[in-house]
Amino acid sequence: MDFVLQSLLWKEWRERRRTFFVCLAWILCGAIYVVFYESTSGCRTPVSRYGTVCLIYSLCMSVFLAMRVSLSEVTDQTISFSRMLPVLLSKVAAVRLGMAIFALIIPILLGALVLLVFLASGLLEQVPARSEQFTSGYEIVATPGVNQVLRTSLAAGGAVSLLAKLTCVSVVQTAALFLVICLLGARRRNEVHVGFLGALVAFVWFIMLSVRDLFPADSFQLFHDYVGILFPQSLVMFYNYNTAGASWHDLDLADRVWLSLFLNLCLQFGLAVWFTRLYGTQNAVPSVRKWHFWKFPPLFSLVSIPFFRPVFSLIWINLRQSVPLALAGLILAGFMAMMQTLGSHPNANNNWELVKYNLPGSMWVLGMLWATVVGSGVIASELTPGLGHFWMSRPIPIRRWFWFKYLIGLLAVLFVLDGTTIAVSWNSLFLSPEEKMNYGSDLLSWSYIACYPALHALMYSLAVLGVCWWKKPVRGAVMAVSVFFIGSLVMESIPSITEFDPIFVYDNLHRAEREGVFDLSRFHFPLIFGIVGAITLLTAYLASRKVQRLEV
Amino acid sequence: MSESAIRIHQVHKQFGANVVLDDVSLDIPRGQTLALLGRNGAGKTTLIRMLLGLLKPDSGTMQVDGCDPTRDAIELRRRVGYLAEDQTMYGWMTPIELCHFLAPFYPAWNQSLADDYLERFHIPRHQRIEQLSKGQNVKLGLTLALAHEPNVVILDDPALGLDTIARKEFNRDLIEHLQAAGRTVLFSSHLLDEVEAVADAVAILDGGRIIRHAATETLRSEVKRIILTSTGISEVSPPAGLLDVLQLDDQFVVTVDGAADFVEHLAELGIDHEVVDLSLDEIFESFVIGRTQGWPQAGTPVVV
Repeated sequence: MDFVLQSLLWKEWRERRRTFFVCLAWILCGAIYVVFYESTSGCRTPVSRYGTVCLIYSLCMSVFLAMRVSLSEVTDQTISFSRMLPVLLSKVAAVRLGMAIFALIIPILLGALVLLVFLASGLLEQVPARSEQFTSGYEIVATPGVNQVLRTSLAAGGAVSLLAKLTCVSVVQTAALFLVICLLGARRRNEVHVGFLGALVAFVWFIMLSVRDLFPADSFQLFHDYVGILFPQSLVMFYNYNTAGASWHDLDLADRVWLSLFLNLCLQFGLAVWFTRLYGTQNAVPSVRKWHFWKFPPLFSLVSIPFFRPVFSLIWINLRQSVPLALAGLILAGFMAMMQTLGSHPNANNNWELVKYNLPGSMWVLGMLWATVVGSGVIASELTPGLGHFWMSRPIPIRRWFWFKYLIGLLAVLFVLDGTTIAVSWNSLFLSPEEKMNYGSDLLSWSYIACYPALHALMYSLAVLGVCWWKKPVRGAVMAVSVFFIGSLVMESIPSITEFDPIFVYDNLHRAEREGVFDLSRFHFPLIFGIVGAITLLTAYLASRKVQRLEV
Repeated sequence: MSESAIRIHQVHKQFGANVVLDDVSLDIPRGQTLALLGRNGAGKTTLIRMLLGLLKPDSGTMQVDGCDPTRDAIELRRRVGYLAEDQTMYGWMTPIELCHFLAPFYPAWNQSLADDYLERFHIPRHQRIEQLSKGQNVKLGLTLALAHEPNVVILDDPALGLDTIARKEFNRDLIEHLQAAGRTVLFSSHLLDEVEAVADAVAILDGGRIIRHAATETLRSEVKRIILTSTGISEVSPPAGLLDVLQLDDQFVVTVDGAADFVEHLAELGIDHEVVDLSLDEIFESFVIGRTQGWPQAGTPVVV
């Protein structure tokens, strides 16, 4: 190996090793969770459970790593130094890309290795993937009181082969998502912008998981078979099932996995080459670009009038910052609902009504993630050294600044995301049980209204605390998501405390409501959501304390 | 005029083991423009941040326009105009939106004056701040610092990063809009030749201490460069305010603070000498990087 490459590899390893260990810890914790949960619950779905762990991991870590790889040299102002090195910048970019992909996918392979040991030794069992023979995931786990034939577990070799296939899909789709975000970030100048752009791409990526459903094999054979070349994540679809005691995922594998993966890798090679050409070519200072025509003229500026009280100034600035962010989340949820509607009812006449009714189903998960985006977005930019110094040197008390920002951001989340969702699908609350059965299980319910706004507020508050703590928007958002989901996974994997998981409480309330009983005193709702509220307030208080330390 | 607009008394600040300001005292009378000079890391920005109440001194007291920054930071910021080095503002706002946003925080905000400054500085009112040039950004910062008609204005190296013409233009604006209005200005800068035209007084901060504080003209009249021959210098002892000694061939160039006494002493001894006036830049250089070890020891032959 030549010395230049050796030096570049050494530098990249030093810059990425911490991220690598974080990735490794994430995946190994995930693998341990899978082993533990499967051993205790006996669901016989360790491979699909591991697949979902890898999917969540890839959506979060790809964004984070792509931000660093594409722009850290610009934001740390070391790009001019790299340009002066007697080595092609494309080679520097290639090494950066290679080391990041290594940090991203090696943990997935190591996690799969752990699981492989348990599957090969027969300590864990795996059922076959969904097929024409096995059409319902309820054939996997015995339901009390229901007499049914369960799927037989695969032999060790078959289980390992399924694991290998799913791991390859995970690895390829993770690398593909990472490369797409890197490429989008290569010409930008701000890591935070790449973070938000990456979050958007990750959501779309997640939505595209079910793209094969949109194009049924009988009508769109070619597209159905080969869409995995563009969206390798769609090669494996997960169907979620749960009973009062457990939750599991059924797998739907595409027919032409290996060919699709190979062709996707060829595309990835092209993306990687493109990235190395683009890397470091952005100007340090924004210039007047020919694409500026699409930007809206500053209409608000033309009608601007002086504010008479500081309160109005603070309300105005916080609305201008938080509402557009929340609106972007609403649009995304609407898009998800539309995709879901087209997938499940392609020929329905009342599509608009179906989209409205599907909105809560999209919003509950997207709201959890988007609340963190709003939470980190509204606070982070104003804690950067430049802007932070600007407003702190004005006669604005920090305490007032923080609480206005926090409360208006929270109201934006609750009104724009949840309020709109509830308003739009309000009618579905009053449908008859028969009509509700026709529309599916994700309709708006009183349980949703009671639980999800509180959970969205919690996620928002956690993200605010994370950002105030680290002053890094993506780190704050990742911390919020990780704390919640890891907490939830831990609770889910310990049967004695599963019923205290807030999502489990919601599931129980929702199930009971569908059976005609809506009672918020049941299923530990007062205790759990009291704690959720208390944590929300506590994290807001801690964030305010942290911010006030900036003041004398 | 005798009342101080800014009073700093025995201020000490350290971060961990690093002493940034050590026993700093400074009085700036009302109406004076004081240039605070110092190298990078000398403690200028730390001192300015403490004056605005953004940092707390470990010991010592400060008063700015009658306010204690450690106790009345918000009231102080209402009264003081401040422009930071390389000031960042909300890029998504336009200049007029930023003015309207800030107006209610300053009881004395004069919107027509702000409009007037925007007009005079040729700042487009409805263009996003992120799209303004560096010079326009600095002038917008100056508009925000002046629109509430403060008695005291603090400028932390405001012209940093501007090209030569933009700096000169900025200094013209500074003289026109600050000094003409009789405001007290604390002005930190690296650009000494430009400070010279603006500053009534100069304070030199080095190693966390104020090593010289005087009116600009006083400083220029007291600090001189004296050229002596090698025989002449060996006949005289080093003066009290010796700042720098430089040997050039058979001549010694010495810089002395309080040069009048030394020149008189040389004349009494009949030693040939030449006195040279210094620019502020050269005076600053002598104070900060001057070396006095080159003075020949008594009885030591001078080797040329």
